[in-house]
Amino acid sequence: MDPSRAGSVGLVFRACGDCDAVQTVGDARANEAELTCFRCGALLVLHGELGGDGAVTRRRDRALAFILAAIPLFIAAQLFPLMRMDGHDSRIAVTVLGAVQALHQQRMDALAALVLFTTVLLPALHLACGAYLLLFHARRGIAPRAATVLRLWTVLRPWSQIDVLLFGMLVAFGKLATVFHLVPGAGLPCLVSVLLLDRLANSSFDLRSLWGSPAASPSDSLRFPSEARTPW
Amino acid sequence: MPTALLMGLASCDRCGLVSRVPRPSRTGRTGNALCPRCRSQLQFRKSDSLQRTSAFLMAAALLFVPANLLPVMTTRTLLKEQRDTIVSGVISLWHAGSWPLAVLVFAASVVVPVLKISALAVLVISTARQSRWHPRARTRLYRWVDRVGRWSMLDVFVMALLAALVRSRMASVEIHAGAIAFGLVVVMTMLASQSFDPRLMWDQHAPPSPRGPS
Repeated sequence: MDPSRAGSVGLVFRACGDCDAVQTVGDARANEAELTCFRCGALLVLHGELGGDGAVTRRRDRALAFILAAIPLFIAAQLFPLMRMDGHDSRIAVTVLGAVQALHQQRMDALAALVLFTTVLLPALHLACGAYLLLFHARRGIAPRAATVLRLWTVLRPWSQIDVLLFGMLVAFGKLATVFHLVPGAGLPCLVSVLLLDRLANSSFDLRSLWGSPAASPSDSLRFPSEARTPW
Repeated sequence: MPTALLMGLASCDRCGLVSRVPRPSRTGRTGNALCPRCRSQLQFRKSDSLQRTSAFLMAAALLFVPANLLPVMTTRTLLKEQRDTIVSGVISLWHAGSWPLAVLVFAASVVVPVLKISALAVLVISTARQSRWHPRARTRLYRWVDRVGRWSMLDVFVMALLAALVRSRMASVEIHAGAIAFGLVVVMTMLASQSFDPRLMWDQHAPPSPRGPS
């Protein structure tokens, strides 16, 4: 790679998160949407980080639109029931919070907390982090404490388990449908939409691009990586 | 092909910028170096990765026993009262004719946790022994474990939904302690895979570079 061309081409200098191999855009394997590590195949960066500023802005706006759309749908998904059951002597509608409460009533508080966190609190926090970072980026640039918020967003990702909940509904439906009459509620399409919108937002924009491509800083940073700072 | 660590470079785990760490110590810590772009602490590797992963794995393996031996759910109808463990629940699903559901629940609740615990154990042991065996295959194994592990939560959600739906004079569902043990197994395996740093496997594979940190 010719370092003197660095600034104009917009190269990315990365160490793979899985195998620590140091590589530039020229080393990595590229397909339409992403760059993968040449050594171990890990995802390095979504193409959202490359391309000119116009492309980055468009992707960011798209991601922001998806997340902002997900927020009211997420609230609706908590308010409307996921499933309704018409039994012989009762009609029961269950919302996500209703399932949490049912566990709490059986004194299974640990499980109630687990379900509450993985289906309501953590996904909400995950959405809020994404919205916070993208809104600031659209208006004012880097948000205060952006690095911490991004770290929180990354850690929360596997713990936001709406998709597993939806599969759980399928299984519960299968278990009960032979005996009881089950009807999907209004909360179900809301939850499915939240899931889809979250996926679309993630694939539109890599949140690490908030700080811009590293080559947007002086081209020296490719030949001589920037020095880490010390706190004193 | 040297790793970033051997070249004295640290990758910021938040913004992705690669920076040179001044005077990296012999133990491989960065000594409070900060990322020049986002000012967060730089780390070469996840701290105490093997210790934390082993601790979570052992907890998961221990909890797996009560999770499968203790009953998780009792279903009461007018005709009968049936107390089930995870496996006996799968068997009754199978006998009731819903064999796709039985396979799904068995896969998510038994097969995946067992595979996950075994795979992580293989990764931890091979890394601790500084093995150079197929790092790329092991990295792919780690990626699979990391992605698939959360699906074991399936049964927890099924139980929560059943408990909420089946509540009447004619039928009820009661959840038992086995379910808590099971939930903890899933949580422990997820924490274990989040603690593991796959770059440690490649540290044995890379030849020392003349521009090394010391």
